Amino acid sequence: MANLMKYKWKNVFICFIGFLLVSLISPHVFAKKMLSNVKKITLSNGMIWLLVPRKGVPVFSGVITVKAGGIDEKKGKTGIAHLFEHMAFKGSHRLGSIDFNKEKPILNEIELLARQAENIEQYEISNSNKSKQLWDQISQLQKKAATYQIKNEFDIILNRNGGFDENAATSKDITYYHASVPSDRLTLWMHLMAELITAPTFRQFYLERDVVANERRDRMESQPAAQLYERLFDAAYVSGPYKWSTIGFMNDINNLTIADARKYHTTYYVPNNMVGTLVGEFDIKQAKKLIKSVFGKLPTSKRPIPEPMPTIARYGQSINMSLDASSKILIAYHKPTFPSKDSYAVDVLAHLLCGSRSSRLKEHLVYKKRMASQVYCFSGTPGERQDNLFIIQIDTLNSANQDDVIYEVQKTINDIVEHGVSKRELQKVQNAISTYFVFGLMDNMDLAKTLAEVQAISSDWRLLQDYPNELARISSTDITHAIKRYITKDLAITVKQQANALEGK
Amino acid sequence: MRLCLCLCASIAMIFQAITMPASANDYFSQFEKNTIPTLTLPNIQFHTLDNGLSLILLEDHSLPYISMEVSLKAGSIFDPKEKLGLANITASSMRSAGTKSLSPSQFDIAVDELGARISSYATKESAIATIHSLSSKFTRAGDLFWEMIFSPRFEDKRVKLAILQLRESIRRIKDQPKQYIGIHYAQAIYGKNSPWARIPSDKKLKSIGIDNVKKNHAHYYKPSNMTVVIAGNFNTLKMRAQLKKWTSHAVLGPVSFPKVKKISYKLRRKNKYIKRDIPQCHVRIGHLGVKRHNPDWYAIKMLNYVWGQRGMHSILMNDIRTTLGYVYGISGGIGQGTDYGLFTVGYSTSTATAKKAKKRVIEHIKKISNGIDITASELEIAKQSMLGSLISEITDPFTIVSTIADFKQKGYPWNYWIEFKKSIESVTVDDIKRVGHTYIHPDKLSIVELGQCQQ
Repeated sequence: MANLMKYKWKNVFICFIGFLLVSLISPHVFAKKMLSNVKKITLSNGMIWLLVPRKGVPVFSGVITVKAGGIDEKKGKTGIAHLFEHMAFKGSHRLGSIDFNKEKPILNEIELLARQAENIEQYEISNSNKSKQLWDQISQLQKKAATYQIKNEFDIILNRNGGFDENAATSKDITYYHASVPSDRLTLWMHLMAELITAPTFRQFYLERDVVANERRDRMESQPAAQLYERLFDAAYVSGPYKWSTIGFMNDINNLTIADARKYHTTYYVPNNMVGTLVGEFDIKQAKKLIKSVFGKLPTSKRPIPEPMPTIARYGQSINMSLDASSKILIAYHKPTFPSKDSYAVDVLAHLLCGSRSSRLKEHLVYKKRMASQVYCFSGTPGERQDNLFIIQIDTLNSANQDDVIYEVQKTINDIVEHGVSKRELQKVQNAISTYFVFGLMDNMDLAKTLAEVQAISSDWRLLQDYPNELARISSTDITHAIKRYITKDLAITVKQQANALEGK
Repeated sequence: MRLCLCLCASIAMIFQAITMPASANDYFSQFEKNTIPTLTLPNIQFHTLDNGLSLILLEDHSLPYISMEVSLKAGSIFDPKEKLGLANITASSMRSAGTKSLSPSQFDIAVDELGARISSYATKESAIATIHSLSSKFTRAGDLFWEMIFSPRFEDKRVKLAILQLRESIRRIKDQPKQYIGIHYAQAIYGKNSPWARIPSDKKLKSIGIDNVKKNHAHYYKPSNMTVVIAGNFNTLKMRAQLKKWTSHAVLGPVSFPKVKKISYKLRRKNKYIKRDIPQCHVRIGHLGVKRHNPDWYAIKMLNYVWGQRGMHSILMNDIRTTLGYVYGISGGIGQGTDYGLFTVGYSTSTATAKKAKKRVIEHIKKISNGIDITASELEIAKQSMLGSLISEITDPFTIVSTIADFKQKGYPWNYWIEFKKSIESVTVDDIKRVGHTYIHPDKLSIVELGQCQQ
């Protein structure tokens, strides 16, 4: 479905994958060779493009990444990054309308009336009758506007041209828009994608807000795991944008306005804040020409792009949850973000503890102690643009005492500090990472997303290329150093969810 | 046999140009192309070893990587009534309970040191074992993989753990409303004890012993019951020789299958409401679908596509999501299966909109049973979109060969794409109106709801 979004729980997963593709990297010569093919273009307006032409099936995948996400939101306006992503697909004056000249005045009126209604709701609590009237009027106008609208025209045009995998996603750090098309549709791809991000009309805004509210109920309220993560992030930060989920709070979503979305778009959707990537079979000369003509004309922002609010970490918390759901423990530790030596060490640690069946925590908790059905480690959540968390998720069996489980986790980690990691075990982790890395390069779209993500977040895609070597340099001492500094008992934020004792009997 | 039946299948499947109806959009039509892109299939090799093992190979040297998958008819529909879960436990403990020469943890370490990934699981109809590895390590990884398949140890403690894990994963389904409601919906339509919907109870799982697992493995895991697909960076002749070596110790012979109880085509209305304290109402509505190889399938496929399976711009999405804002996602269509599949509409909506959404969905169901509202040119565009996106299936070599194995398992020719395309092209508006009427019965709907669905 279009407009899939990375809600927190999945966000964890995607970040894992995202940075796994990144962290999947190995010193394999092959990887180097593969990535030596990346051609970088910087347009005069600051937009960066990375092109990876490769022969194969005559299709290519492309991604436009905006360095803007949940991290750029403020309290009270959470969810705007993701809601805007939905709005992008509503089209422009020439995409999604049969007669924009007639539609435009209606859209203006809707926006005006909505502003009045919002003002009343904000300042005149008593006058709810008046605001209801206005919303009824808006709903009538929306129906009138709909007579000029072509719903989902982006998808219609793309699909009838053999396009597929069209979607977008918003994370804490970035928003990306992507689609794959047959090689001879390069021109169409450029124009359609540019249309999504440059000239939004905010048509159907209020209906889409309801869709997003439904999305939140599907992904958060209906998913116990997501709720645990939401609670964890809230506990792990005193303040700052990593405290809340990308999809935003329900109350905020329901009060977002067109003005909010417009402001967000003009602030962040500027060429010097965007990266484009193409991977697959396409004509490179033609691509360069099109990029210049279609994206080169976008005006650079006059004002500097605002920095996100800083996060303030909180340490040493333990929270008990009692959802109607299975048992689970989340243990989180603050750590520096990519690309720092310690972040590389923690990435290796994540593999060492949870990366495969013979990894330490899996072996210990799942097979030996039989306390858990699964164990996962995530080394870069909720995002990578600010210092983040290393998280261990343990799906504990009902029969296990959760404090015992936490004790065993700590013991497993302490054991690394006391005895170090053997060369053989480090080599094992390296081999696993090698395989995953090559696997991560296989799919055009995966590579396009990963390149764009690294470039957008770290301003240098070559960190991807260097990453395997960085990981290979991590020694047993580096790992124990990182553990002693960050992964200790007193610093941990723990969320415990214990299933109802009656369940499963 | 030196060189046995080897079907060298180098075919180029050309989707010839279809003239496209004029675009409604003045600006973007200048960038559109009026042909469906050419689809070419690479050089796929078919081979059957003396021992009956059937191979599908596709060399692809673009990455230093090899993937192999073994699939066999040994799924949970064949489980004896008193040992539900047996297929699942057999497949999963084959992977986790050691091999003849290696203890469980020795095996795991050996696999991990090679950086390989080996997994094994069962579905309703099949058991599937997969290996992904760098090609430089593939010979050694393959040694481990095939030892696992033909000489598993089934260490007692680990099999018991596999049973415990299965019980736990069944319990955890409750945390995933979409999966959980799916199970209850299938049970509402097929019946709780149907091989197509049953879920093993704790008690039944606990009754599974090591001997059951060993016997089950010995019965089904034979070369004559297996299809192997391999894609990646290898040499076909060498790989064939290697496979012969790997499977030389296998116990040979035919495999017999127990009778699976047939579904009788009776539509019974059955509603269920699973109340849960969440502000959302998850819904499944429908009844029995059709069987595979039904000649109407292509018309049904087009009906499904246009009505409820065309991403953002299906009729259901356009109305229930985009126009009304009731849902984030909604899909619907008539499913097929080895036996009758399910006709299902699935969505979730807020408690406040639950009643309105349900009414609207049922109206949509009535509409298509009276004949879907679509013009011939709209249908042509839909066909073109669907066939055009077929290209997405052929980007990855491993997907190509595993799709072919899937065709084979379902009784289609290996190059079913061609037949599929032809059949889709011949579907008419009358056809899709007719199948809506024939296979959709608005007066026989079962409805399963989960969450808070009533205010």
